[in-house]
Amino acid sequence: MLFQNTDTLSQVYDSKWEASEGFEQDSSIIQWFSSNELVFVVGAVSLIIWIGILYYLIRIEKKLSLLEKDQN
Amino acid sequence: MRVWKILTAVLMTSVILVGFTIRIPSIDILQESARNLFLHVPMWPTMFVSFLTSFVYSFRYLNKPDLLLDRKAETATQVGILFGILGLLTGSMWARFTWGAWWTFAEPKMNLAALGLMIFVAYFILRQAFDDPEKRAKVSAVYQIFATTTIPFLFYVIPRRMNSLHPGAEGNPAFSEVTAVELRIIFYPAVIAFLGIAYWIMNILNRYKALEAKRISSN
Repeated sequence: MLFQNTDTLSQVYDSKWEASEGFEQDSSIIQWFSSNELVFVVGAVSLIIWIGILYYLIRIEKKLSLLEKDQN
Repeated sequence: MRVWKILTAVLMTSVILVGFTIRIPSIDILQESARNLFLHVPMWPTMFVSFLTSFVYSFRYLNKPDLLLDRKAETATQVGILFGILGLLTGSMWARFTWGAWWTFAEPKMNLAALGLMIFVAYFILRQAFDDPEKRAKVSAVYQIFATTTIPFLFYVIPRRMNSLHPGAEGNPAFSEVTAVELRIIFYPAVIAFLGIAYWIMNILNRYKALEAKRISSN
């Protein structure tokens, strides 16, 4: 099941994205969100991962400074 | 904490925020995954610069044998390998859903990148073979210099002439001509941000190793 043959090359997919239709009546914010919603999920995931890494980096910095101060 | 670290943190956060919210042109096949441009591609310049840093430290070590320089060369190589592996993983992920396969031996840049990375992994295997720190440092410095000189050929000169699914191949590398402005405006700051992260990691590792060395020598 993991290795199904998906054809990702022979067709363009935009015509199949029906979620981006039918929003002409809505406000521009709704239109903006609904046209790209899933990619925002990816963006939010990246942000979470990055903030996690940043937090870890800053924690190590603090520990190192403490150790360096102790040694000197 | 130093200014450059804070700036790196701010820059990286903005790159992610803006990169995912900016409107990009409609691109065949890639669609929204084109945003990987500022996540996958910067891994490689970061790797190059890390290995170049290691090259410089190795060179300086051979001029004036100081184990501190050898430690810094080792750290830079470690960070370079980290970003190389991340580049391969992110590239493979992207390839599965755009080229149709996790890996293909027909793609020159992908395979030469893996080969180049293996050359640097050998650097660490080489280091394990020596007990004497000075000898280890000298031999690995020489190896590092030779290894780094293979990088421009494996990653840049050879792949750009061959048939490839990577853009910028088949003798036509013009990046700024084929890449949309919206993507490039995120890409260049992303490279700088990732370089900052690489140097941050190197800085932390070097300080840790310095502390270790001082602790061992005082015992």
